[in-house]
Amino acid sequence: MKSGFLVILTAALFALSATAHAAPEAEEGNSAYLSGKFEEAAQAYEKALETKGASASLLYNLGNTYYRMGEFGPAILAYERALALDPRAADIQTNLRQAREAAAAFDESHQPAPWEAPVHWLSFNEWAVVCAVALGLLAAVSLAQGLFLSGKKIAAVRWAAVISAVVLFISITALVLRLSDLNRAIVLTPDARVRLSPFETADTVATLKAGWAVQVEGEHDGFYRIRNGWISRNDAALVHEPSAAR
Amino acid sequence: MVNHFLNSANRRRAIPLSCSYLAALVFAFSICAVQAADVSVSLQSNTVPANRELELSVTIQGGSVKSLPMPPVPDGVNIRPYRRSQNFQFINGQMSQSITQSFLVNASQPGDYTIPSFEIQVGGETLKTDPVSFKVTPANSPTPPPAPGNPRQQPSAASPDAPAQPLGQLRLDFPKRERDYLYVGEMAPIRIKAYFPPDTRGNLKSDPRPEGQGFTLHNLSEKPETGYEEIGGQTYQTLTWFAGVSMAKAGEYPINVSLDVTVMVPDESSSGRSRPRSPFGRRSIFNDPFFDDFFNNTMRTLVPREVTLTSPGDPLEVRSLPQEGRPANFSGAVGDFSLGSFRLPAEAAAGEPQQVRVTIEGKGNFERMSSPVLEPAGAWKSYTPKVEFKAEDAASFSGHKTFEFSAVPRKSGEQKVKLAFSYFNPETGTYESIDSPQIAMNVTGNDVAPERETVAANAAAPRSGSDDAIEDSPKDKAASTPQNDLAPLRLNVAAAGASLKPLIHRPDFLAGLGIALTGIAAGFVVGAVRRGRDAPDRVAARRSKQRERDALASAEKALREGDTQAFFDSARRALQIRSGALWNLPADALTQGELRKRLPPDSPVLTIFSQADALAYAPEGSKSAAELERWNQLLHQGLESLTESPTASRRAKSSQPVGSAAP
Repeated sequence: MKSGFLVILTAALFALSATAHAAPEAEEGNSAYLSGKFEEAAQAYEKALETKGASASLLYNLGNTYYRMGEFGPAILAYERALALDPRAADIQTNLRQAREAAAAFDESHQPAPWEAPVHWLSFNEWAVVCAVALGLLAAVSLAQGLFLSGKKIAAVRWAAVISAVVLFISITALVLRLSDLNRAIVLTPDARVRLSPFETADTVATLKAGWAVQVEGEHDGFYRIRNGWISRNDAALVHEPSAAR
Repeated sequence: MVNHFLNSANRRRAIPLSCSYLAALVFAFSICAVQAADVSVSLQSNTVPANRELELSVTIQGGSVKSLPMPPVPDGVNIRPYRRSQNFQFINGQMSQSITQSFLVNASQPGDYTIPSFEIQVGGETLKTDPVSFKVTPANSPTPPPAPGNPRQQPSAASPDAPAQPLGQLRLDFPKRERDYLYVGEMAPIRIKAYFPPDTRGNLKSDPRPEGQGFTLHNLSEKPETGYEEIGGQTYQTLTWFAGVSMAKAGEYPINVSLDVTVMVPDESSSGRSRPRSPFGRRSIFNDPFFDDFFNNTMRTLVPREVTLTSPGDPLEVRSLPQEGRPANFSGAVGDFSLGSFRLPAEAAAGEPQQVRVTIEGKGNFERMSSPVLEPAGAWKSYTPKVEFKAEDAASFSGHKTFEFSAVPRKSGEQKVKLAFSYFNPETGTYESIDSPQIAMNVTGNDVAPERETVAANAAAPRSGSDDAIEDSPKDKAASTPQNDLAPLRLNVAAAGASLKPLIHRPDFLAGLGIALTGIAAGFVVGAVRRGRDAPDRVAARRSKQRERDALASAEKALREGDTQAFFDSARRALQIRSGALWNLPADALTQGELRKRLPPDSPVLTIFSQADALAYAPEGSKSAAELERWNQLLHQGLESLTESPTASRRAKSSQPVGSAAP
């Protein structure tokens, strides 16, 4: 039993170490950035994202690069994605705030009410992990109670079950309240057109500045439906997407 | 009333009468039409300060006019239509008509202006107005004393106790203070109060605004407080605002504010005329001074008067902040403040951003206050703070301001970190510096080279010729727009491979949740099974079965060995156990007598019990193997008869006979 656990742990560490090395593209990106060659840096970081996958640091550096290029939409998107992976990073928060100010970008997506503040102490994925841990603990208690325990021992683990159930309830509530996070999108292009219908020829009802956050309510034929119309998928990108690349 | 009139008995006489009235009116109008028309132009005042409005009235007597043209507009003058009124008068049996059209005139530059003569078509006749002149004085020059009831008058410096303005007065009050001067940047709380005399009503057209450029108005209360104040025996309606004034420049100048209001005042034109007699006749009870007041106060018309009220004020000395003793990190704040504490971890790596949050409390000008700085200077790089201010009074003079910013430690090693803040205290006339409590911090790693940290910022900034060594693409050159500081690049980009896909969309995570849910369900099922298995009645039943099996095994053994006594003992024991389990009674308590109460007389159980008892008390010797075999079969019949359905079992428990057997 113990040796099996060690084998699994070693395999996991090995797998982790395989991905822990910085991609050479990321190093190239850093060098290009420090030399002031921001376009090269952006290309290198994007390539690193494609080859090695995302990381908060990589996305953060990409955000800095786009910021220096004056492309606030992609910069804010990169910062938002970095923050999704590392929600309490002070430098990401600072630069995101800076980018929003520079872009005069407003957040038109769901604005939480003051009572929802505790729900935002953790990110969506962190709440999902809390939910999973609570569920796992509940399963362990349930199995232990069913298989091994009896009498006073059951009473002891019953408290663990109650606490797990409470945590599970809280985390599920938080997840439900944070579901709108999954539909947040950032406008990438300056003066992106919001159209009346999901067609390129439809009338423009508004324009959005690069970097604005919008809430996507639906999708149709290459267009996202937002509060006041439709915006092309070329003009906006969801923060939570399967691919970190733009 | 008309219907009543027409329906009356005098309808026939009334119709010719009304026709005659109409004819008379037509005649009167025709007389009026042939009267000579006249036009006159008048200005409310000959002198007006710049940017203030004058009323220009054009009156046409004795004629009708379809449309009145706009007066010609001289250069530098603005004219806009204001209001129009029409009067009919019968004097000595003759009717006269007058039409008055008013315009509002203003000019931004001081000087002499003339509105030239212009033509008006009145009843087919072309009339020409006289030119009118007026003088525009500089905005801050003293205005001439206004005429009573003049709607555009400026309030004079009235005594504070008696608002002498007929249409209102504005006052600005400072709280009592020991100094008779202020400092540049100092915020002083003020109260602005507008007074409106009785019988008038003030409608605000604007908020109070500063007059002049020497100071700025801050945190003006959103809505004025309304109230009443009795001054000189008269009750004035008051509107009160609270705000702070911040001095922008040194010198000696008045601190005045102004306010645009529309004051509803009793119609002056109707005040000269006597109130119409009571409709109930000269001798009626309503023709009484009491009712005169009543009709005057409630039935008279109010007309709007547009007024700009300006607070009177003596010049105030505003001093510059002294150069002497000014700290290098002077925050710009003027007032009296205290600095709160902040938190930092005991250990952090050089270059790792830290979040600093600190609150400054006190009284004074929070607008000019910049963030406290981290010391030791040069060891930290701080970034643009997020600022939040919460006022603690109506004028936002006292409150607390919170700064939240990221800071990056540059130098490694042990540090005593503190926040330093300095401000100018106007009460003492000196600069004061305050420090937060020190925090011992160990900064690990290598020093962050300033040039490396800020190279990107430098690269983005407009470059001089010496920087040509860096090859810029057009995109890079265009990147020089954002000049603000960014937190530095993360040079150690490790641990990639994370996914931005939400966990709840990942199959492995969902599989984990599924396993956990299955575990919970399995635990419940296994627990339920286990609880059922361990139930006391089931345990007892299992034990009873076991004992019964043991007794039957003994009977089988005795049968094989031909031991009659042992066989019947074991058979009786097995039957006792079975019937005890059936009726939930102790096996030993079941005697033959007890069984007879519960079983039919021909029950094989009773037969075996009888035989067993007989053998126990009067042994007759051993039985043959064939006989014992038959007894054995009877034993099994007896046991089967004691295995009944639950219904039968319940019947048995209620002392009903169970089964029967052949002897």
